[in-house]
Amino acid sequence: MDIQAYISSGIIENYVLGATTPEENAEIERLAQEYPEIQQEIEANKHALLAYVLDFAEEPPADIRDKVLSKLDQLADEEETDDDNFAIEKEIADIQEAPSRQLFPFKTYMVAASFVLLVASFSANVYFYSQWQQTKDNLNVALLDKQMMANTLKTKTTQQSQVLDQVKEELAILKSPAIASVKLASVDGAPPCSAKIYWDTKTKYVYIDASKLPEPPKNKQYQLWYIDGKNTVDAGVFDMGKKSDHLQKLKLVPNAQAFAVTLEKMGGVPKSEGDLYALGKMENETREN
Amino acid sequence: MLSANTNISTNEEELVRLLKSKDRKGFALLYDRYSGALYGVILKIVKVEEVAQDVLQDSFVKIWKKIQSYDTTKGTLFTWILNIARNTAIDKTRSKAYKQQASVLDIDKGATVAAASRGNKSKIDFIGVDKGVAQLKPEYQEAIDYIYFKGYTHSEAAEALELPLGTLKTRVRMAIQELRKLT
Repeated sequence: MDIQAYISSGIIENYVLGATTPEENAEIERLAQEYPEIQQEIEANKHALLAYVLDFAEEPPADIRDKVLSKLDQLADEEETDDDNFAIEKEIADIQEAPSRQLFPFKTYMVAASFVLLVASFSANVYFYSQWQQTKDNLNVALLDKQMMANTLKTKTTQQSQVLDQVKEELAILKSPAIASVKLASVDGAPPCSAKIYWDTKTKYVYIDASKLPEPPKNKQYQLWYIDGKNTVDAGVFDMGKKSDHLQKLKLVPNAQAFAVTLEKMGGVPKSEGDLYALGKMENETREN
Repeated sequence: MLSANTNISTNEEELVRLLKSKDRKGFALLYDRYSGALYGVILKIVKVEEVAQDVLQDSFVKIWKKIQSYDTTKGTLFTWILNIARNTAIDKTRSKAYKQQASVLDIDKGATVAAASRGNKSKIDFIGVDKGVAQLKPEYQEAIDYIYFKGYTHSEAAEALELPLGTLKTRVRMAIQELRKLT
């Protein structure tokens, strides 16, 4: 390209004066990197303009310095408050997204978080009120958001403590010395699967962990049976899907030597008609107290 | 008052680092170093001292808020803050409140006052200002005035000065070329 023609077109003078479009600026900056002559031209023009501009320099009145700097201090304070609020909000988001933290004492945490939130809201309230009454509306929206957030958190916490209660209950069952457990393994011809039976020899209730059974076809349901001597007796039907994540309490089993799982029609049958899936015998005698 | 090179011991790189970390000292330093240059330009644009003081403060607020976007590879800190101050001042002259005030105060008269009061006040000599720039021909001063200080487009300036667009463009270019000779 013809560098001299470009230089004498006047575009560089306009660039230095801030009278070019963003597209032109990008072009000039690109060309300046490529052609040192253009870069030199820009520098020389800039220098000349700055010299002219500085000729107008005039010290502002002395008290302006304090005004400006205290305004900046004020901005710094605001930004800090914003950062704090941001940190609290992030913390809440983290709690909501991390299910593994449900085992922590949530209520305590919730109270602490709410308290911090409340303090933050309160200081924000006081601050905004004294500084800008006209931003009241905005503040109300912000407070409403926080309130909503706190409510959401409360609901989440309630849900989580329900899950926690369930897990505790399961744990209590598993830890009970009166529990006898039996592993049911898949039988020949059935898909690979397994299930675990927990039988409370005191209350005689039986629980099943069905998490390792395949999802049954529609309109079908698994049924547990117990074998006592020569009798095969219904021990209840159980659900799959999400429910199989937890222990399911089934019927009373007075006495059993083995357990079996079959696939039956919805709701179960009094006498097994369907395919046998898993079977397990009581290996040890029950651990009575 | 502090002159431009009072804090010459802090170099620009260090200053930019302080500003980017929103260090109060950095802004105090920036103020001491450049407030005179900025205030002069702002005053030239808005022409009323009270307004210029507000604009100076607004400019520092903008610098404070935008400092993260300042890119050292794209030019000096001074050019960057000068543009912020100039834009803030030009925006001010376009506000309704300013226009109303201007019509009351008859600001064009004020312009002459400001120009006349500008004496040898400048203490900023870090780029070697020669007072020769004041000798720039009035028609060139006028061209820079409209384009740089008033922020007019070429056609707006041509119309305001009642000049053909081509003439105006030539004058803008010549103004800078003349300034180069004077510095």
